[in-house]
Amino acid sequence: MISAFANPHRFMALSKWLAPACLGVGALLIAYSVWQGLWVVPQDDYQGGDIMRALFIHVPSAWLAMGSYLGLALASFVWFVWRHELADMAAKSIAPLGAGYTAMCLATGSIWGKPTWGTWWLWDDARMMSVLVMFFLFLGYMALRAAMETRQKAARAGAILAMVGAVNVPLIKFSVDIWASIHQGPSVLRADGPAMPAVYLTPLLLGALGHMIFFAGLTMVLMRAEVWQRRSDVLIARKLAGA
Amino acid sequence: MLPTFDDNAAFIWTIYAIGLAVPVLLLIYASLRARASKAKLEKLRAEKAE
Repeated sequence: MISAFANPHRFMALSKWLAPACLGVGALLIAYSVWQGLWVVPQDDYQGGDIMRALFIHVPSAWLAMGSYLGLALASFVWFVWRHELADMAAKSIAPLGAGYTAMCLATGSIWGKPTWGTWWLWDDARMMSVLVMFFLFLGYMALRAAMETRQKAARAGAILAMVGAVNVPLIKFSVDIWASIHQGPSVLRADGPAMPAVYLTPLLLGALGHMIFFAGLTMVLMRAEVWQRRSDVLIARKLAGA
Repeated sequence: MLPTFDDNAAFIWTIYAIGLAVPVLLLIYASLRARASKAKLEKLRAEKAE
């Protein structure tokens, strides 16, 4: 089954219409979430007044940051075991996008922290530091790939780093339970169901879904770019061999 | 019409500006990369055909 999806020709045919469709649907859901967050949902006096509206930006970016790293690790694993080039292209495409969403998570979290906790940053907070480590893992992945001489070496070194770094994702998720953290405990992904009222939960989940679909669209656009790049490399290599 | 918020309005608007800017910038980055890669391939194919 993986081999059927790992065909670049099939991927290019599918992504030609699926990528713009994902970008469009994702943008609509994000716009709905922003509209709800700014204009519709009521102020929550218990959670600090209007600043809780940051929820609709910060939480999806945090979920996307973690999800994208898992995607990077999974794609790296698939390349490492089965050597499907499309999986390596997916990993390479996810990295800059994941770094962008992780930076967004760090920036919005820091800005939310100032009025809520009275500080922009805490160096001894496990959640903040583990997300910062993930940001550096994304940057390290891209730097490592760029430093390698050949594509195979870049893919191998990047895959190993991505898979080893995946241990950080559960640490982020459970950091508020394991270590002392200024962050509150989970309020959506809980064993006994979400503790958040539906008026906040519904736009939050739809916004997060929108960001996920948008991210998938962006990944496909970058993967298409990578397919074209590799086809160009083949033509250049043939030209040099014939010269 | 823009909504009005409490004393934390500047924080809220900054967070939403970042929340919209990052996906838009990533979209621009991905589109430019795709366009450049496609143009490069088409140029090489045209050279090969000549």
